[in-house]
Amino acid sequence: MMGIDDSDLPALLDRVAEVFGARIDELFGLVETVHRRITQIIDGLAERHRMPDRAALASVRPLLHELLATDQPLLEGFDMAVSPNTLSDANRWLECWRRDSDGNSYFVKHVLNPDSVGFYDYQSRDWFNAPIAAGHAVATGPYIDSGGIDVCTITLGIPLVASSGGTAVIGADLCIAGLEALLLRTVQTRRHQVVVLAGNERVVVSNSARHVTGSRLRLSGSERIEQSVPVRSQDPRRLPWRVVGLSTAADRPARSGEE
Amino acid sequence: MTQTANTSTAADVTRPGLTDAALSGPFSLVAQLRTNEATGADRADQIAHQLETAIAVGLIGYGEMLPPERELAAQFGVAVLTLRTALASLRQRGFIQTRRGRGGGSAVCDAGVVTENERRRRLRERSTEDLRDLGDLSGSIAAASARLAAARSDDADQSRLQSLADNFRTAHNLQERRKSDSRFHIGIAVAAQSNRLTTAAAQVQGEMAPLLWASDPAGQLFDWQEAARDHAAIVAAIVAGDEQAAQSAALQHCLREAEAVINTHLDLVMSETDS
Repeated sequence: MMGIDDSDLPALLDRVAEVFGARIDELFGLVETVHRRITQIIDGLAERHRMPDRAALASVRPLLHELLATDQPLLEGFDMAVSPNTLSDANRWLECWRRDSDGNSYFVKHVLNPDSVGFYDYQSRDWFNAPIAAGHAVATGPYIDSGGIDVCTITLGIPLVASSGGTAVIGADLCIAGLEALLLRTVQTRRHQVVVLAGNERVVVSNSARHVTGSRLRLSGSERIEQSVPVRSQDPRRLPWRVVGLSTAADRPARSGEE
Repeated sequence: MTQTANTSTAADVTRPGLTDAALSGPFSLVAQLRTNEATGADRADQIAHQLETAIAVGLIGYGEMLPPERELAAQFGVAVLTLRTALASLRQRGFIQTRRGRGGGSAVCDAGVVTENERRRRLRERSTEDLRDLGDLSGSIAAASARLAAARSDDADQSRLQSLADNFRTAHNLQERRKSDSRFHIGIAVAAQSNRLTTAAAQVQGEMAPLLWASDPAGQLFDWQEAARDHAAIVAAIVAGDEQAAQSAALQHCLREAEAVINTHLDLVMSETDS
């Protein structure tokens, strides 16, 4: 990676915008791979006038394991979730697979019984609804998936309209710590405050303790946005993120009349 | 299970120059130092971790003798064998040295560089949101403690707290400064006259202090004077009985500490050369 003079803020922001865009596009690509496979399975069943069931979804597991085993430090898990009347044998179903530090995949069981205390109602969650509402791939978050995986994450979700009826969402959960490391190694400085903002105006990651993942961008009295650059994805609709460079009063040249 | 007869109130931990009899005082707090770390570890590992934390926080000082094994086991509510396993782990990692026989026992020694590297590794691997979450808790406890201390503390509480702040300001070396910082934080909760807040403060300090000092093994970067000023502001507000000011000053101070920890975490991640 070419070195960037850390006094060149526009170049820094540009680099981050490029790197983040490219890496997340890569990850969307993996979700598309799973999406294609599921579509094939469902289409095949639809031709025979049959609806998919949980076993049909489960047949994709080897592919998930394979993808989770690849060298993708930003990838933490895959989700496949359905709306009612999509599967023949369940109104709710969530295939959630994550990988541990050794690269092995494990299934994350969710409580899908509405009568249970720990009921995880994914059908009311943004990561499920937003792609369906948009009709195209979207990145949701950062958010804390309370009651689900219980960590802060970002989900890249692609909606699937089943030819047999119903909808599903295929998603990938990202590793926030990995995104933070990516930012820090790309900018290699904490002299300038660089913040990656998601579409919901929340901090994805930053190189500053003042702007922590999930918080709104709150500028202190002396902070100002110097520049804002959109993250460069092949499809900006699905990744409306931007990279923001902040300055403090100390960074700005003093003008006469200013304290 | 026998307990030594002692009035081990939390207040004992704030008096400098503890006598042997009062040494069991801090250990009632040590036994409560269960943190979220070391989950899933067996009981001996947990105890080893608690003792390590107590050393890190300064509840047990370098050179101090641990109580006899039987007594320590009773404090933790475990079998002597479990405690011995924990002590063996600490001995192996250089935290304590044991002399057998009459007049012997286990004394805390400085584990030195190895511990610092380990702490830096841990700090690098914790997530930013997790650190922020810990900072939030620390701030919440400190704010509530300071507010209550402003409302309730008597002259004795206040002069004890003042002397803890003085100890921090006039510390001669790094170890003393770290220890006195933790004692001050716990001391605010003591001045609030709340047992539960004191326990909570000790637990949070147990987690926070090693992270704070992992950032600065040589004690060069941390702005001691700013921290001392923060402490002074907290004490002043408590003495004045100004609840709002005390709460606000405590919160500000914890915010600064949390930022320092997160900034160090970011530095550590940034300088990591392997991907």
